[in-house]
Amino acid sequence: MDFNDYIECWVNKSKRKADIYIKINGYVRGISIKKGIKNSVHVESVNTLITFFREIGIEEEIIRKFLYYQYADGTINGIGKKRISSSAYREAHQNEIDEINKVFNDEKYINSFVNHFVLQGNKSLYEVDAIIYGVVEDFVWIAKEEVYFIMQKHLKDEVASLHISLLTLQPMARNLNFNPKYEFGRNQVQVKWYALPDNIIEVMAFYRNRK
Amino acid sequence: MVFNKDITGYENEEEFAFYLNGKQVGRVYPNFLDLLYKLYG
Repeated sequence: MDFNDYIECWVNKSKRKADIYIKINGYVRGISIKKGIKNSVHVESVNTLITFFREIGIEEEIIRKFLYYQYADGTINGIGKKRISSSAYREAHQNEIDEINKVFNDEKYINSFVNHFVLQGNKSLYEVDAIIYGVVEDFVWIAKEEVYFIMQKHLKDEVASLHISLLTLQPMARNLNFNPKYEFGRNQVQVKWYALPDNIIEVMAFYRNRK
Repeated sequence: MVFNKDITGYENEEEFAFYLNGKQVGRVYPNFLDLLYKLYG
């Protein structure tokens, strides 16, 4: 790459992890752009997510426990009559969440999870090459190798909520009031990277160019 | 912190594309330059 090279850049109009593409000298790179707080990095129907869990070898017992957590109505398919909040569920079933966390945070799965939830998703053939957090005038960024690195680094963090390293998994909506408008959200799993800017800054301060 | 000026995520993506498209590498903000070096070596 040379200072005189011209950049082509365009917005990705399809629903993929890459929000923009950058092209220099014929080489294209995909970039995900985030801003705001409590960043959602992935949303997927519970059915396809369970298929993914099976593909990577998560055992059925853990999948069942995950479904009980997802619906929090005493069933694994969401047809229970009594729904409870996530805090009430945690209070009553923290040991089950701990069991799920133990499996989900096994080192052997982390690269598959990072690829699926953050970098590539279930709709694209390619991973993004970097994530930008911020706006044009002021942003930080993290390269894909650094995402894998920081996720591996935080695998053993003690976190009570259902999580995979720095990512938390939750239903898009618990819909405790049975509002038909939000019912679909019970079948969607949302993955959030709450401390994304902090973790990018952590990479920049402590790990970038030091490995 | 400018990080979160009041625009939507879509507008933000458009701003990035608008800023970068057609620019020479040597004329971008320094933190873009760091990113481009990481992406393109």
